[in-house]
Amino acid sequence: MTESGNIRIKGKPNSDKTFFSLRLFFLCLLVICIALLYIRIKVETIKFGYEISENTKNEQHLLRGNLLLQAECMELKSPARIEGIARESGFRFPTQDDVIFVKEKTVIGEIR
Amino acid sequence: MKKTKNSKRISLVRGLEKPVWKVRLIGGLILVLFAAVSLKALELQVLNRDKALDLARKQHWKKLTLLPRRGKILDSKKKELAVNIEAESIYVRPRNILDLPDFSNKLSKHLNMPQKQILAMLLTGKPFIWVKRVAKPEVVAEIKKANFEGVGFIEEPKRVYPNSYLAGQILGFTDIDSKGIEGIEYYHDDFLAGTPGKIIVQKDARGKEIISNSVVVEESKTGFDIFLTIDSQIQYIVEKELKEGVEKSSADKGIAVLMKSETGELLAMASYPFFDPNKIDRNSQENRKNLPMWYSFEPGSIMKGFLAAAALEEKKVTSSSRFDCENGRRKVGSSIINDVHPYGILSLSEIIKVSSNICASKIAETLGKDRLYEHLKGFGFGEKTGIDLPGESSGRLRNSKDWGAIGLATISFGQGISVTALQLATALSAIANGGYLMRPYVVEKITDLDGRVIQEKKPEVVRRVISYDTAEEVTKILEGVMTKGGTGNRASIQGYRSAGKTGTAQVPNPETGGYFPDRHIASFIGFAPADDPEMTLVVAVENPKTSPYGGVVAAPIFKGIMEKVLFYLGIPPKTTFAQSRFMPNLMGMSSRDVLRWAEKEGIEVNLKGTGSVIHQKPQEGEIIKEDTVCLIELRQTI
Repeated sequence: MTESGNIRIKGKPNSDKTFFSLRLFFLCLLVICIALLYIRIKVETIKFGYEISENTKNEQHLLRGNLLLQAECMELKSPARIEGIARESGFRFPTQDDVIFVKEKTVIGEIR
Repeated sequence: MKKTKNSKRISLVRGLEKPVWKVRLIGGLILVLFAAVSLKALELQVLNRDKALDLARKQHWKKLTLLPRRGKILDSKKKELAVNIEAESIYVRPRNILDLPDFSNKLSKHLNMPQKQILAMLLTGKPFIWVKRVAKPEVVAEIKKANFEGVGFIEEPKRVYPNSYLAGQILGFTDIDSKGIEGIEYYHDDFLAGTPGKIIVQKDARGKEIISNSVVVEESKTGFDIFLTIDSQIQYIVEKELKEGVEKSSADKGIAVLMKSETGELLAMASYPFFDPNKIDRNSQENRKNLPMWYSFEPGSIMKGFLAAAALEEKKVTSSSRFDCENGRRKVGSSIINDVHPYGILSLSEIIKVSSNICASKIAETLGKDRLYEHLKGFGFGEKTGIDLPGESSGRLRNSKDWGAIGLATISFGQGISVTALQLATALSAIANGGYLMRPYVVEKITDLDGRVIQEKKPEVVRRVISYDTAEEVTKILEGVMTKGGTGNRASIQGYRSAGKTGTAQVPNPETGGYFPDRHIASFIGFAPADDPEMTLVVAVENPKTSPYGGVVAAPIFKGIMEKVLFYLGIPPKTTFAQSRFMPNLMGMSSRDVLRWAEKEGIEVNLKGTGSVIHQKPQEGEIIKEDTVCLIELRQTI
């Protein structure tokens, strides 16, 4: 406590004030920094969320394309189509003369 | 000094007066605002908390249904017969569109739909309208490119049948919402459908979904996969041969059922005209029906085989018992029974071989109507087989009490009774497998996504209908039908023993109560190889124009199918080995010729090298026996 004439000024010394102001300043700065960090994290999370959404959509799109290709592949393997192509290429269904049933123990092409 | 100090103090206080007042005013305002905000917060957070939370949830969270993947349908070789793809459906929100007539005009060009139809849909007053469900990808791409206001797209599953019409009537089809409507799709819908799941997705102010913040409330469960006993290659052979046979005879319809004689498993089941489940709208309602199990018809002479089995089982006749066929004309009550060709006295085997109606009626009289009725019931006629498919018909077998003398006679040759092709196949399989009536089935097993078996079907014996000895005797009689002079010799397969019976029946006319004079059902039933039956085949052709006879129209179809399927399954022709014989000279022969010789003679060979035979052991002229292994050496010759 100091006294100056009739005016009595109550308070802490200047050095104390500066100390507290600095502490307050840094505290505020810290709070702001934490807040900014928090916001940044939130923004990043949302950004990643959008990216994940986009990638999920892309994945679904690719999976859909894959399913379509698989279905197309199955269509291409259908017996009717294969027979049509085989006939165009000069093949025919084997008759009994074309088929030889070989006994299970029969060995072909083995050099003993 | 004092004054100065006081005046300074006053001035200082005065100097402070204004700012303090202002600060207090501002502070007061802030306090009021803070109080207002606090009150509002109190209202939102405490008083109207639930309502506010609900509003926020609605704004930020969206509940979506996760559609399950429908299970696949596969054949016995794990080849896919029904699969899923995802297609986009197009919807419109009419409230977002300013000029509806202009919009509908533009959209109609892309969708290839009448503009009036689209406009009418848009003017119904509904906020959400489907304009095209599961649209083609190229149409979706076009509309997306046009970037219409108020148009949206939703992905939906679409059922696809990659082999188009192959086994179409067995598979059935689903509706636009993936619900089974017919066939396997309908009958096993509970297994195939799966269970939908639920997911809560966060969305931003623009309504864009943020998947990372989503919460899965309930996982969707994929439907089970169904494996059929049907082999798509065999099904294809059956359908192809049936189609060719029907077209060749200019007939209306064709039916074929191929069954494993021992187990009742269906290898193929076909109805012609075919049905493509990918194009439901382009097929007639009639083509959707699975005729082998739905369509019942008068079987005609096919029934004589079962009549013989019943008479033999009751020991009323033997295969050599003789009957007078009265030269093709016999009076029963007030009616006359005719044979196609006149015959005199014939044995039971010969009666079946030439298919005499008159002698069949006499066998039936010997057996008696009650016993015949019991045996026909025993074979499964007049009742459903219990196959695991929807829409089965039971056919019609009147009670024997309602049979008069003519009724007994006509039933003996397959008139006045109606059966399905499936019933015929199961009944004939009972003769082929030694007397057991099997329950036919088409679903082999049901598995989950990881391949764990949920349900598996095993062969099921319904009952024993005849003894093993009777079955063997009937088989021999039916083998006679395939020989020269028999009605079914066009169905005989070179190198294999087969048994069968032809059928030619008139089609009943429901209006007159009689029969159409010019409409027939030509049929053939049989199994092969007769000495060790593998498969039973039933073929029926309705209204053939070239000939009404089963032996002319259906027998060649039987042969075409059976021959190819025997090759496909690798069932070799039966060879009988002569006790002892001499080794021929194989020198200079190709490996193919040697193998053909070995197949014909039933001899085991060891071939080494390629080209022509340069050495053989045993040598020419040496004795060879059943267990002899012939060593053949080949070399390429220039």
